[in-house]
Parts: sequence; structure tokens; C-alpha cells
Amino acid sequence: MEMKERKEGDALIVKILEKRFAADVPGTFKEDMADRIEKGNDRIVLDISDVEFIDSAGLAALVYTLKLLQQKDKFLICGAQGPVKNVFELTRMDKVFQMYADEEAAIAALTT
Amino acid sequence: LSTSRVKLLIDSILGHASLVAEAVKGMCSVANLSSEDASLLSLCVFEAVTNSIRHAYHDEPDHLVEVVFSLDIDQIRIEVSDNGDPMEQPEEPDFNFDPDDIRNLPEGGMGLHIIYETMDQVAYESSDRKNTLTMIKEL
Repeated sequence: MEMKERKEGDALIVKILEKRFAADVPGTFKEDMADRIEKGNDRIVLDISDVEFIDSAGLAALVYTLKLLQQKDKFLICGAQGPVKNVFELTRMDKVFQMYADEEAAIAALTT
Repeated sequence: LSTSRVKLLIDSILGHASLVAEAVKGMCSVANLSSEDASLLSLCVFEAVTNSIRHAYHDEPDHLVEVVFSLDIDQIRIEVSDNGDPMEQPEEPDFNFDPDDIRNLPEGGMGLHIIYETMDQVAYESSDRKNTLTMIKEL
């Protein structure tokens, strides 16, 4: 799975560069996120604005990441669009994750 | 009006699951489903097919997953079948959780929950080495 990352102060901004975040996309999302956290990144914004399709495996990978960081306000998600947002709502994951419209809003929330 | 029926067969390869899910989305648009509902039905098919590949066939290639899409005047019926191991707990999963209790958040069972939440009827039948998940959406 292709991702790009940058630092913004203490925060690590990770953007998924895929249209699909699902079981059929090969990659090591969970291992990559664990690696980032292991390296001391404990405030992460995940930008999923390019993602047009998410399934239960994608959501489970996000839950896994949140469990590693242990605090909701340390793992923010931004950019969920239309059908992706619907799936968060259907599974009540919109109540689990702190979700923001875009990176700017998420970074502002993380740094205040 | 007669029922329109389309049967799709795919190899048990995860990378092929989206093909059948996208085909179903296209067929849903013929049924005048909203794009929101069509996306959710497509996701349900994707979840059911990947479930067959991962859990019934244990990610082994060279098996087949069959998807039968039937459009009737008042419902869409989708049957996803495999010839692998049957599901251990095909009934609706208990998906009650405290969203603030991070440690106990569910990582499994979300696929079936999505299917039960989206569809009006869900049934699972396993006999003679054929497992079929039937999902019905009323129109």
C-alpha cells in the first residue's frame, strides 16, 4: 500500500495514496504503522481523502493502530469522503475515531 | 415481470473480489438503487466474497466463488457460494461495544455486521460441501 508521510511539529501526517483500503490491496499497513509508532511517533494524522473504498479489513487496521497509540486524541483521521464516511457510520467507527474534514483541521486539533 | 439473473464465477484470489463487487454495483444502478445503496451492496458482496476466499478456502487459489445476482420487481437477491469450510458463526455478530473502551474495540466481525446492517434479510446455508450466503435487499 502506497503512503506518504511528513512531519508537522510533533505530529506525523500520513496520507494513503490508494483508492482502495481493503483486503485485496497488498501491503503492510499495520506493520508500517507499528513501525512508525515504534520510532516514537505518538501523534498521528491519517489522511484518507484519496480512499474511495474501505472494507472491514481496512477498518480493522485502523482499530489496530488506535490500540497501539491507546488514546483517541493521538490518532486522528481526516478526509473521509461519501461512501467511506458511510461505512464508518454503519459500523459506528465514526464514534471511535476523531474525524476531521481535512489535514489542516486535524493538525489544528492535534496541536491545541 | 420475470426475474433477471446473472451468475458470476471468480477464482479464489483476493485481487479478483473487487471485479465482482464492481459488477454488482453496476447491476444495482439498473435497479434504480441510489448510488449510496449501490456502494453498500457492492461492499456487502466484497465482504462475502473475501470471507469465502479467506475463511472457507484459507487463501488457497484454484477454487471458485459463485455470485448469483437476481433482480426482481421488489427485491435484489444476491447469493455468494463456495465449496470450502463452512462459517463457524454465520449468525449476526454481537457488535455492541463501547467506543471509548479502546482496548476492547472489535477488530473482527465487522464484515458480517456491515452485511446485516445493509441488507433486509440474510441467511446462511451449508450442505453437501456448498455454503451459500443469501442477502436480500427490498426495493
